[in-house]
Amino acid sequence: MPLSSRTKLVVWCIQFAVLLAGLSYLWLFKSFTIVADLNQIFSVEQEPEIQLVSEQLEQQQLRQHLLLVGHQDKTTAINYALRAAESLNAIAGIAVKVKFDALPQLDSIVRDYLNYPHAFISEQYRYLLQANDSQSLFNYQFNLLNEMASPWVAATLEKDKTLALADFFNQQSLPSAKLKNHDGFLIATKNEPVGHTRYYVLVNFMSNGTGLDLNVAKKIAANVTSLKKQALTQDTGVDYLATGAAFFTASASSSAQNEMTVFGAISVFATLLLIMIIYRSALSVFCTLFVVSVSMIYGYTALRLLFTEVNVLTLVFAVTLIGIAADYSFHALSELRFSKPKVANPLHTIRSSLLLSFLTTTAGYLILVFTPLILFKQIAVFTMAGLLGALLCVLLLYPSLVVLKAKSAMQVPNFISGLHNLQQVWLNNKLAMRWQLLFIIVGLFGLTFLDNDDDPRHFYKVPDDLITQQQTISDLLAEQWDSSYLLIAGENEQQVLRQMEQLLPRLEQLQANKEITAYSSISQWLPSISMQKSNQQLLSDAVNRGDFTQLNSVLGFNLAARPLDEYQQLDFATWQNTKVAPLFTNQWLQIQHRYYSVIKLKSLQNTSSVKSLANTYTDVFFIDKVAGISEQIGQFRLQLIFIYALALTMAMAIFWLRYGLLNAFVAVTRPLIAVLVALILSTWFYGSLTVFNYVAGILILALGLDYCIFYAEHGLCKKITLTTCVSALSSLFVFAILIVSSTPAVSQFGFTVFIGVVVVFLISPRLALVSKRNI
Amino acid sequence: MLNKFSHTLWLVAMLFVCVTTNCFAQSDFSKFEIKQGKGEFSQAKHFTFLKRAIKSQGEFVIFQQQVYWHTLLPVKSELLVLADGIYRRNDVEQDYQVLTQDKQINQLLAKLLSGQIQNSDWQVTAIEQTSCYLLVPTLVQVAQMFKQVKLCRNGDSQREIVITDQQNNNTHITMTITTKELSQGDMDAVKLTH
Repeated sequence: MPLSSRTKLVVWCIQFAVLLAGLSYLWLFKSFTIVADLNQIFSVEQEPEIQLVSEQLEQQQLRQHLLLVGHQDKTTAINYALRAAESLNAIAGIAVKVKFDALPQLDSIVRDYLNYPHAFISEQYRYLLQANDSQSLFNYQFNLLNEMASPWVAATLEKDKTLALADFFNQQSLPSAKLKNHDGFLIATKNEPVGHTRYYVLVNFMSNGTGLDLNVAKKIAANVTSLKKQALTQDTGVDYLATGAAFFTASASSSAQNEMTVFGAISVFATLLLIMIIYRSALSVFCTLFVVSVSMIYGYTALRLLFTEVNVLTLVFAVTLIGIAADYSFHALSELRFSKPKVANPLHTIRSSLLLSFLTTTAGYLILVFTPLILFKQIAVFTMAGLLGALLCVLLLYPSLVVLKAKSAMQVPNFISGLHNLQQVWLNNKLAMRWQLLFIIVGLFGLTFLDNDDDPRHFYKVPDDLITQQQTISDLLAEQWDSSYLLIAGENEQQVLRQMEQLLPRLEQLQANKEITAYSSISQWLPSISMQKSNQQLLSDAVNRGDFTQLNSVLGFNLAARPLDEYQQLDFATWQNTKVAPLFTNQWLQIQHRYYSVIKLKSLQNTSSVKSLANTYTDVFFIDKVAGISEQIGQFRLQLIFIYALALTMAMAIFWLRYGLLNAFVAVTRPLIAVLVALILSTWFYGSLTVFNYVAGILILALGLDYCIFYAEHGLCKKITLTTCVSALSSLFVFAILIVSSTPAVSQFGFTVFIGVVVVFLISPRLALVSKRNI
Repeated sequence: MLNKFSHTLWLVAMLFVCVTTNCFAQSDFSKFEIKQGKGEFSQAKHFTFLKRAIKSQGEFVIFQQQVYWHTLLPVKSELLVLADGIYRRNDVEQDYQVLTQDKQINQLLAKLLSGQIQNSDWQVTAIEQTSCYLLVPTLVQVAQMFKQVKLCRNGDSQREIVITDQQNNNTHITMTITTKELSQGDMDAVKLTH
C-alpha cells in the first residue's frame, strides 16, 4: 500500500531528526580536523616498519619551521629577530628558539676525536696505506702538511703525526657551515651586489606534538605576514624569509576556502536564478536550496562519521554535489509545475527514474570508495551520502508540497521548446551507429597515446613567493637536500654503522659519476668499531713497515707504533656527546629495539641507480615518497579505466534487461563518447592528463547514464528536455567555474566534467527512441 | 670635575694622534694588487712544535682574481684557488679534487694572494717605517683559520705574506712576479677544466 504524503513527511522528519542527533553527537564527542597538507592525500604502501619510520621522520620535518630575519646591520637584524621570536612565542602550540648553543668550533671537534689515535682514516689515505707505496703516501702527506690554509692540520698535527686525522677531517663538510654563531644567534650572510653584506638571523620554531594543526599553521602564517607588513609600512629595511609546512598549509587552506566560498556562492546563485527563470516560483527556489542544504548535511555527517581527518580538497570537490543534488529537485519541480492539473500525484511517475538514477550514480561513486587514495574515498562518501539525502528529501518531503503544483499546466519556456525541436531534428538526422563506433575505437586507441602526468607536485600550485623564500633560505644555509633518502635499519648501532660503511664507496662512486652532488651520513663522522680497529691495525702495520720514514724525517720525529690493545675506539654512545653529533640528530632514530639512520642525498639525477643500490643490501631502503605516490597514482589511473569498464558493463546489464541488447549498447556508448571527447580535449587544453581528469570521467558516466535513463523512460518530451537542460546547466554552473581554480587538479577536473556534460547532454536524447512513450 | 676634564683631555690627545697618523683613513692597497701575472714562490711553514720548517717552492699564475699554485719541490702538487672553491691534485694525470667550497675562505685567500685587500674584510694596521700591513680578519669563520696576516710589498715584483693561525704556527710565503704577460696556457691553467 502506498504511503500517504503525511506519513512520508513524518518518516522524513524522524530520519532527519535522527541524523541531526547523530551529527550533534559526532560534533561533541568525535575529534574531526580539516587537514590542508596536500601531501597527506597520498600515502605510499610500504613495509609497516619502514612506513612507521618514514612517517616519524616526515612528521619531524613537518614540525620544523625557519624564519630568517634580514638587515644590513647585524645588531638591527638581531633585535628584529628577537621581536619576531617574541611575537611567535605568543602562539600556543609552538616552541620558538632564537638563541642557540655555540656551533662546534674546530678545536672542540678535534678534542672529541683525539683520544682515539689512528681510528679515523679517509678512504684515500686507506687506499694509499693498502697500496704499500711509501712514496705516494709521503707525497700525499707532504701536500697535506704544505697546504696554505688547513686548520685541521694545525689543530691535529701535534697529537697525530701520521696526518691521518687531519686528512679525515679535511674530507668532512659540516652541516650548517653557512651559519655562524654570534653571541648565541645563528647568522647567515648574503653578499649584495653593491658590495654590502646582509645579515640573516635564524629563528627556529617547532609545532608541538605530532604533525601540524591547521589553526596553528594559520596563526603562524598570519603572524609572519603581519611582521612583513610592519616592515614595509615602517620602512625598517628588515626582510623576513620563512619556510616550513605551516606556510604551505595555510596558503593551500586559505586558497581552498576562498575558492570554496566564491565558487559555492556563484554556483548557488546561478542555479537559483535558473530555477527562478524556469519554474517561476520563489518556493521552488527555496525547495531546491533546501534539498541542496539537506544533502550537504548528509554528506558532512557521513564524513564526520567515517573519517577523523578530512582534506580541504575534499571540501572543494564537495561543491560539485550542489549540481547533482539539485537535479533531483529539478525532476520533481518539472513534474509538479508542468504536469496537467488532473494528475493527482505527479511525482509518482518519476519515482522509478529517480531511484534508477540514484543507483547508477551511487554505483559510480561506490567504486571510488575502494580506491587507495583517501581523497577520492572522502569525495565518494560525501557525494553518495549527500545524494541519498537529496533523494529522501524529494521522495518523502516533496509529495507534501502540493502548493507547488500549478493550478493549470505551465507552459515550458520558449527556448526549451526550441531546444526540444532541435533535439527532434538531431534525432531524425542521427549519425549512423557505425561512425560512432568507429569514433569510439579510434578514441580508445588514441587514449593509449595521450600523455599522463602522475607527479603529485603538479596537482596543486604553490605560490611563487613561498617557493622563492624556500629557495633563498636553502641557498643561504646551503642545506638543500632531496626529499628522497636512504634509510638503513639494524638491530644495534654498530650494525647500522657497518651497513652505512658498505654503502659509502658506492655513494662516492655515484658522486664521482655526478649522479649525486653530495650525501650526508653519520658514518662519515663515525666509523664502526670494527672499521676503527681495522684502521688502527693498518696504520700500525704501516709504521712498522717504515712507510712513515720520510714524513718522520721532515717532521723531525720518530713515530713508533703502540701495541694494538692500547688503542681505544669511539663508540656510538660516546659519539652522541661530541660536538658534531647534535648536527645529525634528524638522521638517527631508535624505535623500540631497532635502530635507523638516514643518508641524505643532494641533486639525485637517476633514482634507479640508488634504488638498485638499496636493493643490493638487506635492511637498506630507498625512500622516495614522490616517486612512490606517482607510481601509485599511475596504478590508480589504470584501475580507473578498469572501473569505467566495470561501471559500463554493469549499466549495460541493467539496460539490457530493461531495453534489450542493442538499446543497452546505445545507452552505454553515450557517456563513453562523452568521456573520450572530454579526455581528448583536456589533453589538448592542458598538455597532459592527470588522475583528476580520469576521476571526472566517473562523474560524466554517472550523469550521462542518468540522462539516458530519463530519455529512455520518458521519451523525448518537453518536460525531459527541460529537466535535462536545467540539470546540465546547473552542473555546468558548478563545474565550469572550477576551471578558473588556482589548483590545477581542480581546474582539470572542472574542465573535463564541463566538456563531458555538454557532450552527453547533446547525444543522450538518442535514447528517447527506446521509450514507448516517445512523443 | 677634574676627572671629567682629564677624560676630555685624553680624548683630544687621542684625536690629535689619530689626525697626525692618519688613523681614520682607509689604507690604500692598490699597489699590492696583481691583476694578472705569473712568477715563483717559496713557502715555509713553521709549526710551533716542530724544530724545522716545512719548505716548498714552485710557480704561480694569477688571472682574474683566481690563482694557480703549482708546487714543484719537494713534492709536486697543483692548487687552484677559484671563486667557487679550492681544488687540488697531486698528479697531473688525476682530476682536481675539491678541498673546500666555503666561498668566504677561498675568496679571501684568492684576494690575499692577488693583493686585492678590502678594508671590509680585515682590520688593518700599518707597520711603521715599512711597506707592511698587519691584517686581522673581521669574519669569525676566517679568524678560525687566520689569526692574523702580515702583508709586505717589496717593489713592484715582490710580495711577502706571513699567515699566523690560531695555534700560532706561521706560514711564510714569498712571491716574486716575473712577468705580467700571460700566455693562453697560463690562462688555461687557472681554469678548472679537468
